[in-house]
Amino acid sequence: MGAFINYCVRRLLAAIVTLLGVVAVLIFTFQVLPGDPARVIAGPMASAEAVAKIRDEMGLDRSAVTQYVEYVGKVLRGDLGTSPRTRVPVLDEIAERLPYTVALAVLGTLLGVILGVPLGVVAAVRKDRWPDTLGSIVGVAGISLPVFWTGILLIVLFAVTWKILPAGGADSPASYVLPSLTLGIFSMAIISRMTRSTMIEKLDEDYVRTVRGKGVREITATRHALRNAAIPILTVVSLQFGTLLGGAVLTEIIFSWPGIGRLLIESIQARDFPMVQGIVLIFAAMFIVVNFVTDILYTVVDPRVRLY
Amino acid sequence: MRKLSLAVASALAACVLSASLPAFAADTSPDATMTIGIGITMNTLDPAQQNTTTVRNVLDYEVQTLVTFNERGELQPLLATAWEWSDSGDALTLQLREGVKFHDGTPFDAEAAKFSLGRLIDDRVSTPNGQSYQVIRNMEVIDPHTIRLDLEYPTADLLLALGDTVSAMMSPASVDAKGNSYENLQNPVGTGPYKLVRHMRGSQLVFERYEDYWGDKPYYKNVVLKIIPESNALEAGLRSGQLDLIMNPPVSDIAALQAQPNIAIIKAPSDRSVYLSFVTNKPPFDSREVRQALNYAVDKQAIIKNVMFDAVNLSDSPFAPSVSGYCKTGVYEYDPDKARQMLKDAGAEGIQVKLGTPRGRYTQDYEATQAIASYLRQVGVQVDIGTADWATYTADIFSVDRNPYNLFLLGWAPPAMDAMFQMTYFSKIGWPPNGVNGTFYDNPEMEAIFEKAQREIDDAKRNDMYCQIQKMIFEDAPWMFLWSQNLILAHNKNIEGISYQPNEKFVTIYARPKD
Repeated sequence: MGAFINYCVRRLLAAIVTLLGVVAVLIFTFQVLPGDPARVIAGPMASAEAVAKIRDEMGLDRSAVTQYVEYVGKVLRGDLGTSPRTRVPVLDEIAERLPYTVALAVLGTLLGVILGVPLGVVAAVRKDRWPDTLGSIVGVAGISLPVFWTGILLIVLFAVTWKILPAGGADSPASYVLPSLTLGIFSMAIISRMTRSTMIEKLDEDYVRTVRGKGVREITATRHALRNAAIPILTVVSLQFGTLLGGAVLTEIIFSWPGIGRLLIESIQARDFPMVQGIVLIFAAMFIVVNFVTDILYTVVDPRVRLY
Repeated sequence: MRKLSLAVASALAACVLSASLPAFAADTSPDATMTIGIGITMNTLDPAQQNTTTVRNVLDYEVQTLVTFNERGELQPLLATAWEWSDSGDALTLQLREGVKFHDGTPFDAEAAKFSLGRLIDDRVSTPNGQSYQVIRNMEVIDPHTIRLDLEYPTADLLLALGDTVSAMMSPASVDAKGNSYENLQNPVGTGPYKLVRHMRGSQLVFERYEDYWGDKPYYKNVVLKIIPESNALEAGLRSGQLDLIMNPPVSDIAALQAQPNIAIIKAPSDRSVYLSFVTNKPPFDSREVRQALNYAVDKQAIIKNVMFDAVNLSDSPFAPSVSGYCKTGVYEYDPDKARQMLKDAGAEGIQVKLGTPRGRYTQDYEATQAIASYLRQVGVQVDIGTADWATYTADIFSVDRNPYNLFLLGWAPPAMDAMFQMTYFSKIGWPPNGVNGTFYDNPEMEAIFEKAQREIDDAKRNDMYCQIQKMIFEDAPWMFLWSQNLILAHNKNIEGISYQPNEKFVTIYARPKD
């Protein structure tokens, strides 16, 4: 247990260093980004005084180092600043929109696992036969079809033609179906491809041949292989989940989803730096947590893995 | 396992069925709801602090101004019933409507008006679009329903500015409401026919009819404004019957939408001029002949028909028709031979044009720019098109000496349709860095008339002066005059009474199902 706590402390320290780096990269990027944030936020019709006021509020006249130190100080006090564009504390706005993104990420990944793992396993077991071909077609299609195409197709079918699901928004349980499906199809494709290739490899190993030699049913042999294939699959699933947590921007736009990906894009376009900083910082933190949990899960699915 | 999947399947089916809606039957229940799709997220809900037409449009359900505009852009009374200028023109006395209450129960009176206008001229409040009100020097409450505004100098445009949502009347008591402060009224409390009951950021705003409204009450009990950023999704919402009204569908789809039996289209003229700005303080566009030649070189009619899908109206003046003081000046008719000759005479054959355009900001902006470039190439002009995201683009074109373009596309729409605001794009007062008039157009004679026109209270005299100004600008051609936009409204045909203001606003207060 002592070793585990030690491990957690080391990971936490590494996380802090990562986050400090993220803030540094962000502030440097803002220095070189074209466009005058104050003018964009105030709008083309604003007076010079109004623009100057916003520039002052955002502290744009100060050096990057000063901005960095001030920002880190504020974050340590739990303050991510206030958006000069919306006049709302950054943390409040993120808190309002993050749950929508998390919900979509969870549903999309879940759907991807539920559909993708069995598809990959079947394709591997029936390698080079029709289930494998079908799986390949579905997998390649799922990866290649852009989400904005899949999304709009689903809207046209389910909302416009059959009128059974809402075209967008997040105001009823039914409105979760199409965006989750859009993300699920994409995740399913990646997960099924990874499952197939890992399973083919594992099904060919000595211990599977030994198990088969004992005369067990094929399903038992597959189970043995799947257990050993779990690590790469878990890696891909967690990467996919981490990416979706970062906001599936296109899906959020197509389905008018009030998630954080859209907020990030809007904020970048409007050069709303405090909001962008806050969102990216939260993304980085979430990715760190997902990675940590994944590492712990490795030890659960494969006791041979030792982290500490 | 089978039981579980059956349960999941039936739950899903229930979800799906509960969400299925009868399409296009306009809601006629006593609690009827009208659902509108809008394209952008509200940045702020404080009328004084916002700077976006759509935000103004949404706020108009909740808050009201002293005056307003009809479909032709003519001034109408709203919370002020009458007004009078002093003889010298530097004081405006307004009679306020009696018996009006804010949604929090506070009575609307001269003190409330003083409070609301006072925020616009107070440095503590950030008002990006507050320039027009800075002329107010002092406010005098004469009686509970009369207020006098003393001005630094006479200006008739102030009255128009009082019709802009920026100057909406806000309950003074709302400063203490949750989430509000004097500097930041994020939960606006106004006198409008609807009150905001729910705001889900990035998702939707829900308004409910205010039963103590002073005027005729709206038919719809609820108005839901859904934020749908993607134009195809917006259109899908209308086609599926889930939305009753959308604005600015892709122009290439207007004809197809019009052909739908359940959808009607309104082309609401707007005061937004779209034009190309010549940078007139540097060669080659310091020459009036060269600017005129380029105006002749482009077949705007053909572009409007083939690229703009007839969604815009050809400009026949530097002012859009709904801008106060508008007078028709004419059009540079397409004449490539004349253009070539003029360029030759000016010694400007084969000039280099760096043509800038935003992408997706205005109707078909990038597409139109490409068409314009091809016309310019036909008269021997070398054109290089450049584009950038809006933030970068504005920083470029509004810079004093780092503008990479010498001809660039922009749209300009005075929120209160006032000539003064339109003129900030022609006058020296708007030169960067103080403003955004990147043409650096300089005409002292015109400036002298403008100076007088601003201070003229007599409508006829002022309009005469502005007419002279427009003719001068037309002759000098600091713009390539293109078109004024329409606000395209596509709505459920079974709803009537949808109207508009010519400053890109839709009005649905008195919308109702057709009998």
